[in-house]
Amino acid sequence: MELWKESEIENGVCQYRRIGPLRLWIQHENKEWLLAYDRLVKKEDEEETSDEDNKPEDLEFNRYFVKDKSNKFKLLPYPPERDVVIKPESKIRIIPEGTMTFFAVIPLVFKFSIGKDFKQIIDEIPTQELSNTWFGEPVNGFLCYSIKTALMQNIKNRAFDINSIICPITVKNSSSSDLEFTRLCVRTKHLTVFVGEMNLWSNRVNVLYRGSGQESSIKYEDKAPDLERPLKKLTEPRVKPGNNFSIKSFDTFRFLAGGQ
Amino acid sequence: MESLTGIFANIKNIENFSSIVLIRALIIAVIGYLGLQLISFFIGKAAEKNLSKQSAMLVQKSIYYFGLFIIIILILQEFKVKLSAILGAAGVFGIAIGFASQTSISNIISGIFLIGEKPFKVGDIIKVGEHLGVVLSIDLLSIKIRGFDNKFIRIPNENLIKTEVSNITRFPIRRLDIEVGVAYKEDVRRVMDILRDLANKNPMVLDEPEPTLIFKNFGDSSLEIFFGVWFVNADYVKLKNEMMISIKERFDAEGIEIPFPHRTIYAGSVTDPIPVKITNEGGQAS
Repeated sequence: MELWKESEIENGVCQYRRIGPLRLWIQHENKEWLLAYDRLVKKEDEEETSDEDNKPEDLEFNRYFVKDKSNKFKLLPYPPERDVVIKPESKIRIIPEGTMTFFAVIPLVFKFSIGKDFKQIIDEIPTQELSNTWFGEPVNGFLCYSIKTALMQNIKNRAFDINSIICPITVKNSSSSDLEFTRLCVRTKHLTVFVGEMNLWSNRVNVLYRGSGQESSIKYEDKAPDLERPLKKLTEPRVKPGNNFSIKSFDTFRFLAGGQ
Repeated sequence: MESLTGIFANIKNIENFSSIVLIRALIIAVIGYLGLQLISFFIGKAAEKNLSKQSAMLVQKSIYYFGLFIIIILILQEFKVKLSAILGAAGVFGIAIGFASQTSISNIISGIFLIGEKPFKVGDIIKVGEHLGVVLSIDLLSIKIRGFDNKFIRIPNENLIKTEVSNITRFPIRRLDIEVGVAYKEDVRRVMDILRDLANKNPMVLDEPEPTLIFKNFGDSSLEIFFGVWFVNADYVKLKNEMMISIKERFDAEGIEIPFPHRTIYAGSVTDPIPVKITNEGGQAS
């Protein structure tokens, strides 16, 4: 995927990149970088192909002053900085000892990086505006992004939007009762991003459900998922996960917030 | 002559003695005060690492006032003032002072209860009566808050114990409640769908907990709908403005009427017009 490779830009020239609904314009002048972006709102507008000459008139460039004069840059894809709550279109139930593998499609953010080994990050820009949601009880919990999606089971040979990271999740119910859930929280800070010919992938997440009231055991695999070959590692996780840890990932209850 | 010299010598000795005592007292005062400032500062810093901000503030102030008390005692001792006499006199005045300082003592005790109960901490936004602001400090006698119009407000602790205190930032999320009234001719289900759609489209509105929609009442002038959306505390002002504006704009676009209060005058018959009589100045029909 050419979008994620190293690029060069001449002084004074404006380059254009399109990442899903996000349109990005880039300029460089000595030690200054200028970035401007907007997002296409309507689905039909996403078919539009633009270039630097079709910049919106009211576009505002953000200016970044750096130490290095280098004119090389790279866009590094990452999952969102907050955890993501996935709400399946229909309720999911896994019977005892049952295992289910599905794929969550997570809109990515990218880091505009420059400098030696592209370690200097100028900005981090989400490709899509995600809705806020809360995972947990109103008195304690944490802020997440919300994604409504059909959790797909079969994605063989299917190409997704360029701004999507496909996260394979395997859930095993090792308890003696059914696991029924309406929401699943994915800890995006532990996801590694791999690139293939067709899609971006994250490492596989293995969840072991131990029963209601008990914490699930979560493992983030180190290697690339064996779903598209070859896969090349693009970015490391924001936070390296431990080998195995327990955390609450499922929300089986709908919190009733009605009434006054 | 000798007695005169002796007197002068005594005066000089007294003067010397007084000068020495004064100098010693001054040294104690200056060094003591500076030392006290340093000690209370460092202890306050150390306390902040282990305790909450208000507890650390309390520890620092307690050490400061206690130290000040010790310095005063030392200075009085330098002047050979009998402390027992002072304490004795204090006992007499204590009763008088006790009556006079009932409110202050009540505030101090209320302050201790507040610190133990922890209904809020420094930095929280609280509402006490008509006052809304950020808590700046929690002291023995009172708390200080900064209003959003940058007013400095002092609230005695006794008042806080006796009245309701709302802590707006205690929990990370809260609900924005909007009362929406629509004309009786409107389709309530359609109105609720529109409101739900507005909530879904606004990224600041949390998807979970889900927005609350309740058909509240058949009001005097309108159908009353309760619309509650959840949000993160920091987004309050922006969300309130955006949500109210988007409701108005969407209702206008959809042709949904928001009625103002009105009264229908019923003259005895639904279909007959209300009779109107025009008279001249004398009251006769013209």
